[in-house]
Amino acid sequence: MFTSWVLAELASKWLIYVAMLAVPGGFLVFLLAGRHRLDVGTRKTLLSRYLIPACLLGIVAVSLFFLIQIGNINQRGVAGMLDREMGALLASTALGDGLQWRLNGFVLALVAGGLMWITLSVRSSSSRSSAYLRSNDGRPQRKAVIIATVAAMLASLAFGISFTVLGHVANLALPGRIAIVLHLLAISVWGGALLPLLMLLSRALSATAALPPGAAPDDSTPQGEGASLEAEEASPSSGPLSSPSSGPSSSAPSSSERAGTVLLLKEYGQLGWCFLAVLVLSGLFLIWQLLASPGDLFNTSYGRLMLLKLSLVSALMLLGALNKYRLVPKLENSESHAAWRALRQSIRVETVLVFLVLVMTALFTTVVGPL
Amino acid sequence: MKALSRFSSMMFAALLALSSTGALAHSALTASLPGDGVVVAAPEKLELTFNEDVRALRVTLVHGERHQIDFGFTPNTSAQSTLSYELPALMNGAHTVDWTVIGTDGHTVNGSFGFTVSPDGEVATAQEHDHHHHH
Repeated sequence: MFTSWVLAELASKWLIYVAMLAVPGGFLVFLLAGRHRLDVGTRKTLLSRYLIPACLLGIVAVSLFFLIQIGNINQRGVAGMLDREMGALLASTALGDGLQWRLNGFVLALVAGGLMWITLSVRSSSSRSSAYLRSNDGRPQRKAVIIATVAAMLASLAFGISFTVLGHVANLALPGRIAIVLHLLAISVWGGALLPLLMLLSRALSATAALPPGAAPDDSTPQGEGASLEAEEASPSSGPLSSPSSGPSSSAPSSSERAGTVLLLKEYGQLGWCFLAVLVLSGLFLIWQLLASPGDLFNTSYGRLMLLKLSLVSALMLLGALNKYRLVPKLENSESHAAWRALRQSIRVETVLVFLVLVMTALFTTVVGPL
Repeated sequence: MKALSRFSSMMFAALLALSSTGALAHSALTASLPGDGVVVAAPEKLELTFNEDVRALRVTLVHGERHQIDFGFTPNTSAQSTLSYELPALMNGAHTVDWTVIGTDGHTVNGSFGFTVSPDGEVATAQEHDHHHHH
């Protein structure tokens, strides 16, 4: 059953799902980072090390998946993957439609990421043209942010729509299709935010690494809550996000940046419950739609995989609750190294669970299906 | 992290075990002419019937180990539940049909079945199938 073609299909599909999750979640963290006045360098790093690579990964993974489908049908090895006629035929089917939606989504997201990168670069640049753009009441920048945000939202919607034309849900009535779009958006925003949150936590940990346990870092560059735009320009990007062990050029985040990170985590936790509710409700509705009877949960491969997925999601919810009600409040009260570390460890585990959920989803949509 | 790696490996193994207990899919071959494993005399057509509308991507007929028979197959541009092809005169012996179709949900499904041509065989009629492969 698991031929090399099937394994290749599973792997490429998993990569597509990882990339699709990264876009909405990554943009959420990026926008929250702006809202809580995190350093421009930090925000640029979120773009350059997460969002933009995720978009590129998505484009490559979609293309690879398409070629693998052609190769699998032709069964003539790698050369069979380059069959133009078969490619044109597949492109005219629901498979082609679904992949086109995904490709469009990744391209839109790449445009959004690029636009945000340019906006942040203008903000921190000292060139005359940038100064002109900044002096014009910031309107071009705000327009760029709005366009980028809309593009990112449309990209996320495109990903959701791809599941309504391709896959088991494609044959359901409208309510089922709406549910899958909501389901995907919810898990993308919630799960896709975990890796960028880990990046921010690692950065915050770099400021507390050398301290004795329980001690909070000193405020070596005291700033008010939320650095102003002028302050950001006066202290341009403080370098890429890094752990203490990477390059001598990286600098630790300031106290205001750490405070901003804590507020960001708190706001993410508050939003998280909304996404979770949408995820669970839409998921339960889809189970009801896709399975012929409740007994199928136990009597079919699809049902049993679904139960496994539900248990992973339950574990995710428990960890989310731990973060929201214990670890983030602990961080708010005392920004000790131990508190940052505990939260980072919890989010690491959540990230692994999300990756496993995506493996299951790849299995659901490739080798196993509902009756 | 070690515990996490062990947990992930266990979950992955469980996933593979659960998903290899039997593939289920939407598109399924429900009947064929000739049927699977039958002995027939001079079939004039090859017919594949599915449980839903599908588009044929590849259908091959092989006599023996590797003698591919050209019966003018071309992938169809519109979806239909029954695919029918006129056959040339077939030689006696075992024949294998390999098929790959794509359903309206974009999933490709493949499968194969075989029949034997013999002068003493019965007249080819449509017969039901009960298994399929999904990929």
